[in-house]
Parts: sequence; structure tokens; C-alpha cells
Amino acid sequence: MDTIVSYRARRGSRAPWFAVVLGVSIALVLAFLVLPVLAIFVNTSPAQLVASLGESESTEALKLSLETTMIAIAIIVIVGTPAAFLLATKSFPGRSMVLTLVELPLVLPPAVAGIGLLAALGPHGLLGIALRDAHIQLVLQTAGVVVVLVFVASPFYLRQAQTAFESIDRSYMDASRTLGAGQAQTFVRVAIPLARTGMIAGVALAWGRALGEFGATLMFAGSFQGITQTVPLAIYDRFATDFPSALALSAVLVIVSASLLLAVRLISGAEALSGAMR
Amino acid sequence: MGAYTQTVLGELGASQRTAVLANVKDREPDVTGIVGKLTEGAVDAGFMYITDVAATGGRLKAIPLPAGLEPQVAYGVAVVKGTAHPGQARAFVQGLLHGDGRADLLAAGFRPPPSS
Repeated sequence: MDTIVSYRARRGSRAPWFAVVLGVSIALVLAFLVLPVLAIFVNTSPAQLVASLGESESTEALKLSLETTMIAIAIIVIVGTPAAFLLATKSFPGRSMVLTLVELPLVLPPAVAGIGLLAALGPHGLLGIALRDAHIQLVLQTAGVVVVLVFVASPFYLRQAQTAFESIDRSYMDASRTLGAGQAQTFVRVAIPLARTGMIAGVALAWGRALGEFGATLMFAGSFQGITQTVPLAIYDRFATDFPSALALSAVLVIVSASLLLAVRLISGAEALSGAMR
Repeated sequence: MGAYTQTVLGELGASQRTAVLANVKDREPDVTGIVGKLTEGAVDAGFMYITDVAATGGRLKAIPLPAGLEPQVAYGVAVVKGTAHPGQARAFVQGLLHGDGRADLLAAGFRPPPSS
């Protein structure tokens, strides 16, 4: 707060050219990032958009995308939250190594993720025989799509959740322990409510990444209508044969992703507000 | 490839076509993906070009389609009008049709152009 106040106080004495730099910078950023999205909508009439939603290929892809991403997010949150809490609150030997490994999928190209998952979980992969004996089939199955999404999207959630847990004032958790709450109880009743806003932001990022996932899904899960063909794969499928319909389906995905981002913004905004008033 | 496969399946009787389609697990947008899924053991068979089988160096085995079912797959080559290098372009085409290019194409599994 102090820095903002002092910045405002000295604002008049700042060189005007810096304000111009800031303005030009944001204008360039906006123009570049918005142009492709704008182009999708300029080239798609509302009629095409509605027509695209009427095709079974689109609706099945949309349904599959929502289904697989929601399952993936649930797995990520349930398994990942305690892990993020551990990484945020405990120091142990090899912690920075673990942090690097957890974040690795962030920097892996999707093609590498796809090849790696095939080499690990494919029929000829490291765990291929074990999976077959357990009658678990992932490649070319809907479950395989979920596996890919969990792999590529979980670092986005883990990072945010870890940061959120790190920024909790430790005295709250110490107080909870002093007052007789166990570690698990402190985690559930104190840490998670305090870290909620950051966790929601992590869910939004991970969900967005999962909705857009293309390359690794294609390599590991393939592309088949109703089973593994998510919206990005359906878009690519049409790209070769029917560009206008690929555009229309892209527009649908933009709307879904944007609404998701906005909804999370609003929820976490309301959360932050009610948190501040409490 | 998908369109050629549709053509082939269209030549089959309805019951055979349904039986094949019932076992389709994947519709890859390009042939590379089919090669990958086959070599990784994700699928047992796929429709692909004989040249792609040859490129795997023996890891995949080609089962030729019955002669009556084989679709006509031909690639064209031409010199564009108004090119800046017409001589070189023509030489390249000649090389593909008759010279070393033809030998390389045949070695890679392509067949001679249908007209010649």
C-alpha cells in the first residue's frame, strides 16, 4: 500500500514520456492478443455459430471436452491440494528438485508430453504390461484424454495453490495448532479457506490449459468422435475440409473459455471482497 | 487418407463395411499419427500409403488391398505459368519423371505415373 501511495504522491513529477511508453505498450499487447480472436468472430456469422452447434460432431466434442476437463480438474484438485500444501509449508531435502520436477510439464512441448505418455502408459510402454494385466486401457480411450489433461494442466494448479498456501500468515496456522487442532484439521479448516482465492485462480488456469489441449491428446488418445475427439481436435479435423465450420467451432471454444475465465474472475473477486470485509 | 479409406469402404458390401467401421478406434488427421499408433501397439491395423510402410524400415507390414478395391491415388507435378525459372522448373519435372528422381520415387515405393 505504501508504494502505491508514494507513487501517486510523486506522480506529477514523473516524465510524461514514460506514461506514453506504458500506453503504447498496453495498446500493442492488446492489439496483438485480440486480433486473432477478433478475426474468428468477424469471419463467423451468428447463423454459422448456431449451425455449428447443431452438428453432432460439434456437440459431442463440446460435451467430451467439458466432461474430460471437469474430471481432470477434480483429480488435480483432490490429489494436488495436499501436495501443494506440503511444498508450501514443509522444507525437506530435495525440495527444490521436487519443485522443478512438478513444474516440468509447463515447459514440455505437447509433442514431448504425448510421446512420453505413450512410452510410459502405451501398450509397449514402461507400464504397458502392468496396465494390460489390470485391464486398464488408456490409449485411444476417453480415460486416456483425462490422463493427458491431468499431466499437462496440473502444474498450473499446483503452482497457484502452492503460492496461495505460502502467502498465508503462519501465525493463523500456529494459532490453530496451539488451540489444539491437528495438522489435518488445520489444513482443512484454516489453510484451505485462507488459500481459496489462489486455489480458484489455479483451477481457472488449469481448466483453460486443459480445454485447449491438442497435441498430446492427439498423440496419446487419438481422435475419434464421441470418444477422444475434444473440441480442439474437432477444429483441426475440420481445418482440412471445411474452414468456415472450423472457425465457427473455434468461436464456440473462445466463448466457453472466456466465460470460464470471467466466471472464475467474478467468483474470486467476490471471495476477495468478502474476505476483506470479514 | 480418410477420403481414400471412405472410397475403399464404399466399395465393400454393407455388412463388411459395418464390420470394419465397428472396429475403428481412431481417425488420425494425418498418416504420421497412424504410423505412430501402429508402431506403439495402440491399434492392430490402419489404412495408409505403401510408401509410409516402406519408410518404417520393416517395423510395419503392408497388406495390399484387393485390386478391385484399390483407389486411384496419383500425384501431379507441373510448372507454374510465369515462373521466374522455367528452365530449372522443367528440368526438375523431367528429373522426377525420368531421371534420378524417378529412381528414388520407385525405390521409396511409388509406382510409375499412370500415363507413362
